[in-house]
Amino acid sequence: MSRQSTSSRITADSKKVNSELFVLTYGTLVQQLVKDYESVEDVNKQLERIGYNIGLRVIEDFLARTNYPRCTDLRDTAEKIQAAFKMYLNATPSLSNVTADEFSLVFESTPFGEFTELPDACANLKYCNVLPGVIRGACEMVQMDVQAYVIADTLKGDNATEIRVRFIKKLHDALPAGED
Amino acid sequence: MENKPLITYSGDLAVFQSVVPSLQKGIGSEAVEWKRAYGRTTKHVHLHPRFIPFNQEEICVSNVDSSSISVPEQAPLTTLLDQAMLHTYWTDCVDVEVYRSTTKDAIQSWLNSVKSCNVREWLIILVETPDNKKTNKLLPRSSVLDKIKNDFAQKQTERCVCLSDPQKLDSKSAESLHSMLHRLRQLLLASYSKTLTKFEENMRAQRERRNEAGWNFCHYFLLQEELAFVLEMLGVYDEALVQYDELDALFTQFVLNSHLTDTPQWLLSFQRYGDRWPALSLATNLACLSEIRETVRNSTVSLLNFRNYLFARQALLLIKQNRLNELAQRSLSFLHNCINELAILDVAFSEEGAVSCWVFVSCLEILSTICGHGQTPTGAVTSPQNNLKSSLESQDKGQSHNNKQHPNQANPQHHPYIFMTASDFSVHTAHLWDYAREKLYELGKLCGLLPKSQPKSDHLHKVISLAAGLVCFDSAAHNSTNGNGTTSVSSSEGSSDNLEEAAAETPIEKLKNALSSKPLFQQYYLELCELAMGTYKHIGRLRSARKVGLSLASYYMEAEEFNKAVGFLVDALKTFTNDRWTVLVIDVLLKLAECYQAVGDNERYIRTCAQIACSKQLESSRRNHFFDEMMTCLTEIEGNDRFVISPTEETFIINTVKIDTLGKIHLESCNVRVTVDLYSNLPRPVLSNCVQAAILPYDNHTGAPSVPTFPTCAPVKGKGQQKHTNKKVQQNQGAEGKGGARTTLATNNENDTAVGRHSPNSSGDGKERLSRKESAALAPALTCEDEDNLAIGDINPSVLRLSLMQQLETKQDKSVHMGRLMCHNIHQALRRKDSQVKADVQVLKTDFSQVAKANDIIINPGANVIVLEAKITSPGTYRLCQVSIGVKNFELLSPRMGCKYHFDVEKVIGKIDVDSLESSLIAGIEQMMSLSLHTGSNSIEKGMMLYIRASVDLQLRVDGSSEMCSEIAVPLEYTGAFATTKARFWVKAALGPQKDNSMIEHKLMVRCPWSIEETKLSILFVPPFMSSYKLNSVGQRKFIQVMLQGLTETQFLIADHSLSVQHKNAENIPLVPLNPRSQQIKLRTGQNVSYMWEIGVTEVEDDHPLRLEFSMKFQCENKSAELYKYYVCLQRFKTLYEVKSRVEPHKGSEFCRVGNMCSMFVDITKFGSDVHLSLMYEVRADQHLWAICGRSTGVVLMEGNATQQIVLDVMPMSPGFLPLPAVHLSRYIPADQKSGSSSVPKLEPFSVGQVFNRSKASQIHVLPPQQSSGSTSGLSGGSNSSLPVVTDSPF
Amino acid sequence: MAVCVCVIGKDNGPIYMRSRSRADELSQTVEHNLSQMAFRGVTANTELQYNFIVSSALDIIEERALVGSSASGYKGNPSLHPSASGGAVGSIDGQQLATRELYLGALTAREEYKVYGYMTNTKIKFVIVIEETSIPLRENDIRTMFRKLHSAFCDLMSNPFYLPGSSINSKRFDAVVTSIMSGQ
Repeated sequence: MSRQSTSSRITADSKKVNSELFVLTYGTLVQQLVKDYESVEDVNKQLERIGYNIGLRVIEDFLARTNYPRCTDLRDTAEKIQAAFKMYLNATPSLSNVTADEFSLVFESTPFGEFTELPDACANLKYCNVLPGVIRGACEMVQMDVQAYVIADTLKGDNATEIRVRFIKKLHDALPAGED
Repeated sequence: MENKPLITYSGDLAVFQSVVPSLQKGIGSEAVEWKRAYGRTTKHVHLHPRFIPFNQEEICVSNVDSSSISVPEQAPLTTLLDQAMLHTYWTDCVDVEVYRSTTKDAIQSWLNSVKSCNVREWLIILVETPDNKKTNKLLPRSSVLDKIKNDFAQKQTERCVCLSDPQKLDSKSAESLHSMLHRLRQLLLASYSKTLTKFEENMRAQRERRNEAGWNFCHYFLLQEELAFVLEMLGVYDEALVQYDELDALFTQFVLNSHLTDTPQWLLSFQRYGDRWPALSLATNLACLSEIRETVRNSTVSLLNFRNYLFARQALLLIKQNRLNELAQRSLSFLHNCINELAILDVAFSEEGAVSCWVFVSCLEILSTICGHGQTPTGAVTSPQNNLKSSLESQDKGQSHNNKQHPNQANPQHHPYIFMTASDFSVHTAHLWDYAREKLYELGKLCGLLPKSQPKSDHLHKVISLAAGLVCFDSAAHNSTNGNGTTSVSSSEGSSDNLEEAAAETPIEKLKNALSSKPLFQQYYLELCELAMGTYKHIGRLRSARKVGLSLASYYMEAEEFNKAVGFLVDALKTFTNDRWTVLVIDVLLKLAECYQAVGDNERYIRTCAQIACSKQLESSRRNHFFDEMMTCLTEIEGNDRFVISPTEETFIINTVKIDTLGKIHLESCNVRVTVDLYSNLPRPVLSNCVQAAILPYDNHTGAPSVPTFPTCAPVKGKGQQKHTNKKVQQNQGAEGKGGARTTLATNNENDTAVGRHSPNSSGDGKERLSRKESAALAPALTCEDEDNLAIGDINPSVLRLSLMQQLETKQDKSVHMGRLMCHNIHQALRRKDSQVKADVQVLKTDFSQVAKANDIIINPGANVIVLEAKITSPGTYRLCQVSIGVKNFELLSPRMGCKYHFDVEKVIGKIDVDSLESSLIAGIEQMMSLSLHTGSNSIEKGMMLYIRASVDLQLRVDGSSEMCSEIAVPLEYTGAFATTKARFWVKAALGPQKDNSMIEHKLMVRCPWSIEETKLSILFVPPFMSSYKLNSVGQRKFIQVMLQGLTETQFLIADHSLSVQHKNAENIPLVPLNPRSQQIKLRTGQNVSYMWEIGVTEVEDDHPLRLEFSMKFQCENKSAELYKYYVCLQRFKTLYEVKSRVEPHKGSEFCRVGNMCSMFVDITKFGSDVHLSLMYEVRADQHLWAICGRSTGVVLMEGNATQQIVLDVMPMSPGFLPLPAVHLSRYIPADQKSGSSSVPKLEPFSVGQVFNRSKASQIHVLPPQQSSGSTSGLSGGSNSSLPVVTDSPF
Repeated sequence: MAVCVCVIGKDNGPIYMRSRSRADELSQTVEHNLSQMAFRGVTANTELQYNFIVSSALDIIEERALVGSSASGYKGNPSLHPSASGGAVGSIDGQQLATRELYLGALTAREEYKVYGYMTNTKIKFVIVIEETSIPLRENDIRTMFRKLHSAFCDLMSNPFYLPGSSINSKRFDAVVTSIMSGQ
């Protein structure tokens, strides 16, 4: 049957993958992880690691497509990450309480989580924990050591999903040639 | 009275009377095509009009009162039936004068009055009779007709017809009659069309006003019904039905809206308090119907009545069109709708249960009608036998058993019902039966007729008042009943006897009887239950059937006839379990438990308790309760040897089974440990006194070439060429006996097959099983494939394997003329789901003679891991067949496990063989060798001995003991099964004189501790060296040379060589060693040693053999020296002759040249005395070197002189230093000797050393041919003198 | 007014059952969690009733699924040939199934309610019991109910943590069902 609920999201662009399929894929991945690891904490870790690896790669593509200049400050970075979300997930998180070294990305609903309902068994599963990983990995490639973590999740009844990003330090050791 | 189209007549009555009979029969004889307005389909109708005298008053009465309504003329029609649709005028006047004078005016006035009617269709018929025809034939006959025409019908001449004398039977008159009739029909229909159109318009107008105040549905109803009547009258039933359906819908609409808008006035009458609940009657009983119609007219009709009436009419029309199916289909919704309407209009009844009465009676009424007509050949009824069969077949165990209880149920009276339910509308009737049943039950409850309740006086009142209220119509009960009775019979004309028998009792009477007494009620109720159930089953609606079954069961339970209830409950249980509909399953289980407890059937009670206790849906308190029940019950029956057997499924779920075993028999048995991981659903921990898993021999291989089985509806690949059918068949069964047996097993019930195919070891414990046989069916020796199949079959019969067998029938000429496929397990494949004999206890207990078991295990709720131990004694392949968990006397059996879990057990006999040493054994020296023993299934205890016997010349020595012997016992240390140990000991193979390097083979007879018979092992020894000798001679001197050749890698030190003469008489023969005495030589492979002695020849008598013994000591490092002896035997070796030969060029030439003849001198010198005088010499040479010219052979006599010289010519053939031609001597024994010797001369060779050739190996220098002589002359001179050169000398 | 909504799995076992029992009419619904249900009082009995109703409705569902579709696993009375039974089911159903529609129409009716059925192509059956009231629901309303249910079911299946075939225990699904039963 045609799913009214979803048909709108089915994009005509053949090069883009159907978001529903993507969501299902991600869901299956998580569920498999839950099956394989006994503790939910491990699953969170795994997700984060996966995300990290994605981040390491995706940043190349991102910078290549949008040849953004070097970021001036953290806010700048935040906005770029925001843009990246739009670009890759077609999700538009809003930036909130941005400070000198911290900011939050707020999604009105958990990405990839539209069908998901967490069973009681994995109440403290961070379903979308890939994203912090991605952010960390991506930032690391541009000499920013950041710490990203989910602090609110609609799947757990919060009214928004929030990813908090904290800037830790610039990675001076790995400076590319031509710096200063 | 029956409605007919009305036609008025007037004019000359006598004429009319004369014609009327032919009219009456003529007019309806053929159908007329009826063209319709509004593009409705044209219909063919037969008209059977009635002729009535034209009488203005009554015909136009409607006109009169209609004139009171606003529009004075052209009043809307309110009635149709009493309308004359055609007015006819009859005359036979032929005389124009007469016509002018009288007839014309008459017609005129008639026409005027007709014009005043609301149906104005008219026809004038001029009848000609022969008598009036012959008068005044001067006038043209037709003139009167013409006059009439242009007087009255200028435009519409068809309104005047002439009927020529009908009495006559000639064609002409017949023709005219026919045309007249035609005209009549046409006009009549035309008038109908016209009138109906008008009528419908009016009707619609009326309907439009339905929401106005003062509009009355009843009136409208009557109005539209008029139309319906007419249509019915004209035989257009479907359209008539449409009218009623419209009315129906309209009414329903009103009712539904009634509480949205304020209820219209007219509806109140329907709503009024009901003290009667008239039964529906589908009888075509006009009296009753018209009665109701009356009540409708004065709008005092009650809802029920109205509905009854409406439905009756609809039913009638449906039946007339033979649309019984639709009738059946409508009826249920009719009842529901009706009740719904009662609810909406909240019509109150004086008695509770009135509605139920009505429903019940109506149901039966409808059913009897449907079935009545279903019986008529037109009704599509499948042949009764089948249906009876199917419906009986559809009654499974529980019910048929229940039948036996009630012979009164099995009486033929309700077979008709079953027949009818079998016809194709049973889909609808089933519900009706069920509905009726429910209602009856309700009523029974009300009237205290249920088993539990005691009928009291108020109950009695209830019955009476219900019965009183239950009338055929709101009219006196008497005419209703008999009217009803008669009509219902007449309604079912052409029905079979038992139908009438069934219909003889009208629904009302049925109800009254049913309510009259408890037993009667029971009988009726049970009957209905059965019918409902049967019908449901027949149409394959099992669950519905089960539902009825359940309510029947609960009825029985109320009646405390529990064991009757059980049957139904069990069936229901099966169905619901198949559906995994836990909620229902539990419900049924609870009931079952109640029954079993009441009956005191402990076994089943226990089982059921277990099931309930395991059902998670239940809240824990209940579960615990039943758990306790189970345990207490078990303790009760603990004493006796009965075992309650039940499948594990719900109770314990076996998740995984792990087998670990070496698979090898250790000593006499093989340990198998089975780890069962099972999940207990019981609410509390339970102590199982014995958990065991049956171990059966794995019989798969025998089953392998079984009957070719195909999954259902898979293509069948033929099994190749077959000679004769019958032969082939038995071949098949012969070849795959197991397969054949298998199918029978699958189809028949297990027991007899079990007898047929009993695996020997299972028969062993026959007694033991018999003790518990009553609860456990005998276990057939299923092959695991069977079990797998069965398992599959249980899951889904459609994937069950068909065992198909090909049969080819061949003609005489061996050509196939027919082939067929036989399926062996049809019963299995085609059996009905519900009648699967998957009885509750039919877990077959297999043969538990060989088990892996564990005792006294506490099984906790949830997951458990249980380890079972078994010892398998005989080798083979085994499989786990079944797990049984015993709790007290409660034994839970798992389903068969098929081939999944199997393991091998093998017995390995010990093996012993010779270790391959790094270097091969050497003869003559003592060395360690070892045998390795592979214990296999056996093991070696400490102190066991390995007995070894050696073949001759082989010495053995146990380590530690000093002396060697040929038989020893080697002590062995402890060794477990399947390990290897070594037995070490010393061997020494005697080393005799070794002439060649051939190995020395020896045998060891070994007796292992685990067996008595000896095993023969062969071992090879390499000789350390081989020895040979050579006799050399120089002139008369003799030298003997002994040579040793090393053969082994190991190096030997050789010393103390000596040679000695053996026998006495020759001790004095001197042997002069030429080697230093104390010489020590190391010898190994590839090295030779030679020793040389000179034999003092002079003392030797030549004829005696001279035996010499060579001996020496040899030792390899750090071993004791061993003695080696070697014997040489010499005879006749003293030199007798010496040959000396030389070659010289002929005189005059210095040198020998190629191609120049030279002379060869051979001197033969004789030593000592030889009896033989004549020698034969032979000069041989390679002809490339020498060409021997002259006598190359000859005989010389050696007497007297010691030396003989032979000269012969030889010619060198090639230059260089050439060896001289060889000279051979042999004794020549001439022929002419003393008698005894043969006549021919013969030669005797000399033995070695007897002839010494001095110039052997001496050479002569030969120059190339002449032309190159100068060059070589120089050196040939020197060489010439120096010859011969002896090269071969030991020195 | 829908009084009972039931989802039935491939193997004819209920995987979701929710009903409003007569006892407490006013839109307060009895949670019927299959994993833990109690037999007590009026509510439970009506619960049971609904179970029976739906279960017997399965019969008809099977019939209708059978007609038209190649009768593969036909377990009914062999003497009743599928096509014949198709005839028996009647013209309405016949044509309904010819067009292989998921919506199976009214299955059974009783005095106080009608039972409607719907079967997905994956053999998941939805059954809705509609209470007979003065305001009858139109066919379309019922179709939309089923469509809502089906869509909700699809979403449920998309939930990675829902094990297909297991009994449904999902807040979202509950919410949808509630909306269906409360009739908006």
